[in-house]
Amino acid sequence: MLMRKRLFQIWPLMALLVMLLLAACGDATATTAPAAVATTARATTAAATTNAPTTTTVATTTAATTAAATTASATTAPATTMATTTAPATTAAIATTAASATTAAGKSGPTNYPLSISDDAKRSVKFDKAPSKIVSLAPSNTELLYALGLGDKIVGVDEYSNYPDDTKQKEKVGGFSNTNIEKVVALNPDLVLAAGITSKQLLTSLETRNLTVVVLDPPTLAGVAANMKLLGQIANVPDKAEAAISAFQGKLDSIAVKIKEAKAKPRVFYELDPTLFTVGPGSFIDDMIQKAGGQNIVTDASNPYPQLNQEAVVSKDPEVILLGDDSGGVDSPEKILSRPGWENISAVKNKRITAVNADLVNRPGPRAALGVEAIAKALYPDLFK
Amino acid sequence: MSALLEINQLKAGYASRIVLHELSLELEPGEFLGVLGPNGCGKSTLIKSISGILKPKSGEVRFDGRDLLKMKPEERARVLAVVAQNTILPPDFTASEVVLFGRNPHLGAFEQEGPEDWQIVQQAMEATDCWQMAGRFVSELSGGERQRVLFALALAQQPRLLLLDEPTTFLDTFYQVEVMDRAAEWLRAEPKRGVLAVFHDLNLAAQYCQRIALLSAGRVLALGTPAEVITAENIRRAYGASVVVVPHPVNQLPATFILPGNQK
Amino acid sequence: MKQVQDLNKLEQMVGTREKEPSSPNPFVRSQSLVFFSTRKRRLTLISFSLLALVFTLIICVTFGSVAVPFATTFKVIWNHTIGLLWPLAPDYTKGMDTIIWQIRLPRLVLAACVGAGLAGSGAIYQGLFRNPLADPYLVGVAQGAAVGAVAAIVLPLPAFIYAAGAVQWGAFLGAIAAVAIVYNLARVSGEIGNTTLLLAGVAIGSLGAAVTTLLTYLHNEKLATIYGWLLGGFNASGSWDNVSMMFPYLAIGAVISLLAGRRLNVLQMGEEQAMQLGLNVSLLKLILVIAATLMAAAAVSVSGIIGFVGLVVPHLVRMLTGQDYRQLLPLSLVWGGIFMVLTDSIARTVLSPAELPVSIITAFFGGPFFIYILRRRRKFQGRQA
Repeated sequence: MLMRKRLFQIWPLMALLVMLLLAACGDATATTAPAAVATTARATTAAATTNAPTTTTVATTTAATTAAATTASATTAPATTMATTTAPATTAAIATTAASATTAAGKSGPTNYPLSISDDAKRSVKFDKAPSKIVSLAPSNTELLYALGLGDKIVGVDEYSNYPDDTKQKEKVGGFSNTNIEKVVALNPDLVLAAGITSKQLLTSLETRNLTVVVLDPPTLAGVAANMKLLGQIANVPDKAEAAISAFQGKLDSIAVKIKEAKAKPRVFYELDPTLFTVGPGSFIDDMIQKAGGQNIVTDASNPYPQLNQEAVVSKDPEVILLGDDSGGVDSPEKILSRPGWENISAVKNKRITAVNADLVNRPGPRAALGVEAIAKALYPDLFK
Repeated sequence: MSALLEINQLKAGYASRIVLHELSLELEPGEFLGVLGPNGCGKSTLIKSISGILKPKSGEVRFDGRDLLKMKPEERARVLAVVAQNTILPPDFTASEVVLFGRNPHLGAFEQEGPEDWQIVQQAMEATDCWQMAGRFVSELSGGERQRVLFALALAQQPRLLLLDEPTTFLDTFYQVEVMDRAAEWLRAEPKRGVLAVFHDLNLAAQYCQRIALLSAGRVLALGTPAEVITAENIRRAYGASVVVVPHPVNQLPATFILPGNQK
Repeated sequence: MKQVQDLNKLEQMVGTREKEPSSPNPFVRSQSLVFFSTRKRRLTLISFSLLALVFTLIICVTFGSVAVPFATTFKVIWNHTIGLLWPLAPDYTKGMDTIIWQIRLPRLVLAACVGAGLAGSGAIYQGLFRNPLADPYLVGVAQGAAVGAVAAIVLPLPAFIYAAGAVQWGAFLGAIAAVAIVYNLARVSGEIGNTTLLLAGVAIGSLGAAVTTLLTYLHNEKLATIYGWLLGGFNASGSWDNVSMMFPYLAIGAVISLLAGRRLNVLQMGEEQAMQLGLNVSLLKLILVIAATLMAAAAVSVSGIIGFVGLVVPHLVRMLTGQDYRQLLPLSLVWGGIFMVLTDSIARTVLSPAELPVSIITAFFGGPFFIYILRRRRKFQGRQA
């Protein structure tokens, strides 16, 4: 009798634990990330979100991230990422970034050290020689380094970096909110490439350990090209940078040429999650939509990642709906087709709802050009066959 | 004549401790039965067992031949009412609203209080002399006034058995007498009623009870008229206190006086 | 009989105390905003409040992100209800019809249901535990729902399960499971201790918060989606489907509230006294906990976590109309609905076309108003120590 009663009292607890375990196993990275990581790192974003649901949107968008895909979890399609990207403090500081490098005189000359540069966070950083051991704290940075042929200089990457395949052999230093500082220090890098999602706390923490940190946080596609040039300068690989820029720019130009044939720009609604958070002016994805020949239905918003009123979505009548993610927690195209009240939206009537590969759109790196192409394909299926 | 309340072999207590050991008591119709005993002897446990707050381990309690312990709470509350010491009164209610709670056991699951219920409330409050404070918040009432309201609450239940659980504790003499007079008056008003009262004060018990049960350690030590039960010897055995018992100057009932400095 | 005469003599000896002067009308409550609660007054108050709710709905349905004339709004609603029998000529576009009937009205009605559910369950919990701080979230509803919803978001569920409303059901079941655990933990030898119950609620609440934080932390990539859910609101959830999902629970809760009023009043005397007054206290507790939990869980599952309503609305009603649960429960339901419709209307229009999280508004407007009423009442009746 007593035994039965005890069991009755603890079964819900056990159910909770089982749920917890299942959830943990569902994420491939979680199994590789030891519990110790979870305990040591500060629970910055997660704790703030759960305990105080009333914190402002801005607070989380900064904490939330540009993107990160987990290394393919076997069960579903490559687990992709939700991008509420870095909140860009500056809007168009990019053109100046590349130019602000003190020695950026000629087209592509070898770098003269010592070199002093200014990064996307307006920090000024000095280099005495080209870095040889680099740690990347975001997938976009990792991809940028590989694009410039600096892959062999990488000694550590964040756990979401998954491209190119070679990345898998690199040492992992943790996620975005739980970067293992000890590990970064132990790798003894002479350059740490941070991103917009890297927290201020982490930046300070790295700086106080005398690490050379450069923040790459391009607010636009042009900013990506500028960062290629900047990185080329820092690492003294100007030719590689030129090549990467022309490949990147070439892709964008070819898209621009193709969409010139189109008569009108389709109206686009970019859905980040089912509560209708979206991208607005000032966000990287908004720039991608523009470059892909689309017209974002959000033209004015108080922040780059506003939550749109459902009435507004219906009345703005988007012709194409893009989904930033296609994994759990977000609605599938089929589900959106059956949303009550949405049946008169052109995109729903014409079944033009596309989930775009999150890795391509959420990472402000060299593959962003492919992201633009993916969006352009969704907008102009006839022009991209 | 059969007993109004019949307690047979009642065994009750808490998880770790048995307080009442197979206690038997009978209350005749029209009787004012007092229960005396030292702290922890099981007086309150007895009241709790009869009123359904505490489920006894064994034994039975019959009222007018019916098993009290098997009754539904509302049925039991129509038969007996309790006036206790130190009862919580919800501060935001008026005196008459609180007295109206006494109608709860008489109302069906979906029923609301009607005019006749209000009439009963008024009668109960008039009977206990608190009708004039019907509209006042109970939090504004003095201790004596609160006890009047609680008495009216019990009367509004229209019970046949009144259980008094040391209702005069913390009251000054005037109100002590008033409460006990009222109980005696209520008892006389109709036949086949009964009062079972737990007392702290030996003299008060002696004045009002026809019979007294003196409890000690969950058993009946003595049972009989006040003169039979309240003796210096019995008090010493039950309370371990030395007292002098003399006849009351007016009515010759036993009156107890303490002897300081003679505790053993 | 001899004794009685003696008693009379004794009374003469002691002397009689002076009777207090009787007040002219004992039924008028003195020094208070509150008047004696008769059935007539109760019915008047409740009907007035219901009218106020309908009025609020009518006012609020006429404004939103998209401007729709009042006459059109009226015609749309008419044609979908009474107009099924006597239709009016539809001189409005299909889009207007959609916005009013599919988006705006269901959203408002859902807000009313959720507000009613939260406030009604708050009033029940406060009465049941005789604790002014009790509310659905204190016994674990919010944290349980959060664990359920977040688990549904991060678990690798098959798409069809997700499409069937996994997040909503996760929240609903999570909330109920949490309360079930709390209730069982609080059961000591068959009795439910109030303090034990609230402490167990706090403990399970923190455990739930920890689990939510952990799940969020391990699934950084889902942060935006999780955050969107935790914020709460009616933007995406405002549909007739959700109204019909929520309504049965609300109806059960409302009926039980109406029946329980008298018994909750008696329970305010304390549990032992209530038993002596013929109340089956443990059964009442069980029924009321189930009713309150179902209402709150259903509310949270469709709206996310919206704080403040369950705690404050019952207190506002109590301060204005008194402690009598026969009117406090129905009035809390109705005014909870009104409060939520108003706050949601602010949330959906103030930043239009963007949204503002409704939980911010509830706290922003409810807090100061609550303090104002509290102070006003203190001044008015200094009687409460």
